[in-house]
Amino acid sequence: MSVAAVELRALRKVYRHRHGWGRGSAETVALESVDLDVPPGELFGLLGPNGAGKTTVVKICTTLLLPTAGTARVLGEDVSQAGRQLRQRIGFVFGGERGLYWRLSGYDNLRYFGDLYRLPPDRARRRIDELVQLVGLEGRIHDRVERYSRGMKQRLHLARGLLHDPELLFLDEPTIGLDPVGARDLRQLVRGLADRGTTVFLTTHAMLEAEAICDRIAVVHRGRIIAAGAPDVVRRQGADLGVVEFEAVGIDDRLVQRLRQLPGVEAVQVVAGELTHRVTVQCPDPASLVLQLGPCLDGALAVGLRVREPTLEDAYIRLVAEPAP
Amino acid sequence: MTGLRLFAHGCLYQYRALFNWATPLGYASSKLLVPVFQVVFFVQLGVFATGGGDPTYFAIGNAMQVTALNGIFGVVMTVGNERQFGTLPLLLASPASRLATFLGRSAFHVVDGIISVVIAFAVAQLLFGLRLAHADLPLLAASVVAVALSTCGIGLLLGSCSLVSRDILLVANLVYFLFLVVAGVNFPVTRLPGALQVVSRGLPMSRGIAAARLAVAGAPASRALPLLGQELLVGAAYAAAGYLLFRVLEGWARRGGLQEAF
Ligand SMILES: Nc1ncnc2c1ncn2[C@@H]1O[C@H](COP(=O)(O)OP(=O)(O)OP(=O)(O)O)[C@@H](O)[C@H]1O
Ligand SMILES: [Mg+2]
Repeated sequence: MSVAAVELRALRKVYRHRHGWGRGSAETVALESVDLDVPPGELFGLLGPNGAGKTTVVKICTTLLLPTAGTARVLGEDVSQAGRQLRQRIGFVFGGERGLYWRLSGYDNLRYFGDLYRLPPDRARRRIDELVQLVGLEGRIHDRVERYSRGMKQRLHLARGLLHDPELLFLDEPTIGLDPVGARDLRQLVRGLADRGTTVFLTTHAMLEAEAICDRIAVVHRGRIIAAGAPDVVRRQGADLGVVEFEAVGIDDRLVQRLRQLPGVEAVQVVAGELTHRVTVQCPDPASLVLQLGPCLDGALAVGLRVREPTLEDAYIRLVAEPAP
Repeated sequence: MTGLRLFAHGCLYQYRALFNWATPLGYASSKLLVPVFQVVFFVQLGVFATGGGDPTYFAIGNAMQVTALNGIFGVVMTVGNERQFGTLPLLLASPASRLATFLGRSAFHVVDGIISVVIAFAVAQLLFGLRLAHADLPLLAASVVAVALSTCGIGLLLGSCSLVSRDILLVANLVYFLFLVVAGVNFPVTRLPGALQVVSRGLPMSRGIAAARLAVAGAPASRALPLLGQELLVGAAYAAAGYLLFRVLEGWARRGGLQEAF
């Protein structure tokens, strides 16, 4: 039995923040109690809404933050005690444009981080050439980073995270800010890494992304894991439910509230479009819901109504939906 | 040997990454013009105030003090910029040696500091006829190196503070001008009230400047060397305090006490 790549037990993190001199302090519970296992070789996805605690988990695992309670073991080492050896074995990429030296070329950025990871110069040069190919930055790698587009910066970040050939790679929202094609390329790249044996731990709020590439996922909500398993398994946690979907004109908060209170309704999602709102309602008996819709909508117009099986996204929305009042 | 090469390499990239001084124009303005203006201003003022007196005293003091520009601001901005670029977490989560990183941050500023002093001396000689005929040049060079090193020591301490505070440049400004007052730059330390003399002894620079004055006057090295030894010790004490503080703050940051750091 090999050691788990990531093993979290009752992991808890409370941030304390001061309001400024003498104005007291407040606490934010970022992680209530998280238990999680990621076996080596897996492509694992941690899902959750904004503020769920995903970044906090990644920061703890990459030795940037200490847990308030509980344990986090990464590649068999307790992160609270871990030092250089562990840091040399893991890589990480935080989403966004920060974390690069904008005045240096992409190439010089990689050389600099190669130094930090103690790569001998000739190995660093070879590895950088490989990675530049892999992330598709050929031709632009000697430009200054300040002239890069967001997607190029993101790809440079990935190359940086992979420089020292880590056994385990953490990616915090790697596709944030990428166009659909760029995001797909990046997903394929990450999938390829996992297929070649790198363990990948990524966070995202894009369900499709998770469904497309992850071997296993977990959903974190308000600092706890509320579902875990293969994407299919998590999706089927809603299999007893059906989904009614329609476009509505003239819908408002009051009507949404009324929809939520219909018998059997588990979750309602409203996404604003240009002219209409797309409304998704999850419930055990879609057929009878459809009959109740007319009176409930009270004059608002519903078009394009259809009933379908829940997707992973539906399952996710139900999992993180506010409990009905 | 590879260790040393990595170190030098890292220092160079760090320096280029963090400063626009690495572009010719930025370099010229901060490395040439600022020191030149400072020397011209104070020497002119000193000569005027003493009714056409000897420029030597003012020239030596101000030329030496110019190192503090690099030692303090250079080193402080290294950490500050790193925080601004969001690269600090990457550095802290890397396996790089903290001590090497830390010393690497100051290495180039020592060299830079030395270059600035040389320029300042050259200006003093060209414009005000600073006489170096009797000077013990190796001893003068040693004084310059000692002060360049010791001001970086205090820069490292302030740099560590800038891990927690965005306002450390204000403090750095304060320290820079404090040097003007207490380090014997434009008037002897003995002219200061007792309390400020104590401050002067607790800071780098004053002994180095005193040694440089001895060197220019051609005094025997045996008088200047103990001063230089003390200068280096004071600088080393600040650097050590800076390093310790860095480790303490790193621990704090990991506990989530410093939101800005990440
Ligand atoms: N440095 C900090 N100080 C105080 N509170 C923090 C800090 N970092 C995060 N938090 C809080 O902890 C909680 C979890 O934040 P975290 O960044 O882990 O969420 P997330 O799942 O990554 O969210 P997102 O999807 O928006 O990136 C949030 O309530 C956040 O406000
Ligand atoms: Mg996040």
